[in-house]
Amino acid sequence: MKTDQFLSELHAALEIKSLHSVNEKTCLKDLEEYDSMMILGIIAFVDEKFNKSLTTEQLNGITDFKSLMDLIGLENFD
Amino acid sequence: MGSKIAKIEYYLPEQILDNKRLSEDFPDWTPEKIEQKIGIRERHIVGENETSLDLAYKAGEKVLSGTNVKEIDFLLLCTQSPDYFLPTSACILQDSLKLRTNIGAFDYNLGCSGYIYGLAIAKSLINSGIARKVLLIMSETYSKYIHAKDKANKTLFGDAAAATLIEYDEVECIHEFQLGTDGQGMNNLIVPNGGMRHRYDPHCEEVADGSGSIRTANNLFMNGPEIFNFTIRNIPPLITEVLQKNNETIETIDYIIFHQANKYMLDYLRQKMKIPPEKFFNNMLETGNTVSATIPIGICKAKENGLIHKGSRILLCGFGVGYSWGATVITL
Repeated sequence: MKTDQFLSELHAALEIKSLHSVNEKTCLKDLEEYDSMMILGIIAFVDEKFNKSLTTEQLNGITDFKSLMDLIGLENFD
Repeated sequence: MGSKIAKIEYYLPEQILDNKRLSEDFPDWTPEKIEQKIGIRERHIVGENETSLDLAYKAGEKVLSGTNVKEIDFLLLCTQSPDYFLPTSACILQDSLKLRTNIGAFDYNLGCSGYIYGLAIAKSLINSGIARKVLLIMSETYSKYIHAKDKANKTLFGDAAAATLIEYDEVECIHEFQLGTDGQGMNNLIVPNGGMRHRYDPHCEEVADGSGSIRTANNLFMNGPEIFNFTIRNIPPLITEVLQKNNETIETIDYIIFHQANKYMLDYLRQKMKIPPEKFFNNMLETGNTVSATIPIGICKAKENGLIHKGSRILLCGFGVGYSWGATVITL
């Protein structure tokens, strides 16, 4: 998946309204919308698009969107 | 020779905790946001002196109305918030519901899979000739375990009881089961203190979980992300297996009722399994997640709304604390 597409689709899936768009350096925990439901949204998105599951420990370690991409595996991105 | 569900009734405690009240305690959440995110507008909560046994009695009384109580020859009660460590709540309920004394009665401790396991036990009792009319009651008061400042769990769970009459029938209406258990998930949905392993500690430290909820080890703890991972991993194969066992497909089944965990999780599971929305029950708006009671309440509501009727073939699926899960197909 192209990085731009990933960021744009995840922005929509997580219903982020406080920012017009997100980039690799956007910090998840700084988002107005960040809560326990957003974590479920990330789990669902990664399962649906990459067929991968993320543990709580991994999820707790996410800082910006780049760190999420690292967890998914950079080989999945163009 | 077989068994069938003859009647279901449920009881919700009078006290209501609505989203408006919740948003006063947790100002970063608006009532609309709570409803949109988890599909719950209000949940019923027991009063200080009201217990699972009280709810079970009310639901039992409703389902037995119009039935000769002396015909009941087995009572099963599913709860994780019993009135006492001992005696068994079902024994007390036998007396208060004025059931015969020469019947069997016991509690079993399961959460969101409890209804499926109860149907499996009731079917087995009837088909083995041990009983002909079983009273199966789910009664849960998780609110007793939830910390007043636990935003996530307070928002999600409601208290309720549901009672089902299961009786002998010439044809089998409770079909094949697929069950599952994995104790490795024990710490992801747990009340750590209060049993014999870790006794209740009145001086227990309050801990903030980083997402706006506070609790102690005396309270209910749920690791939502891990529970979600567990359902994504286990429920789609469970549905495939139970359909195969029953020689059914999603297309031949009339309707599907899952444990009502939360709207988001159910929407995702439905889409992942390619179940048409019109065949899938997703409604916990006025009850919240009532643990083992969600499936029988779902059957009642689906019937009230004309979504199912006599003769409908319905897939039921429960999953959660334990981990424990199960599914079956019934003919209504």
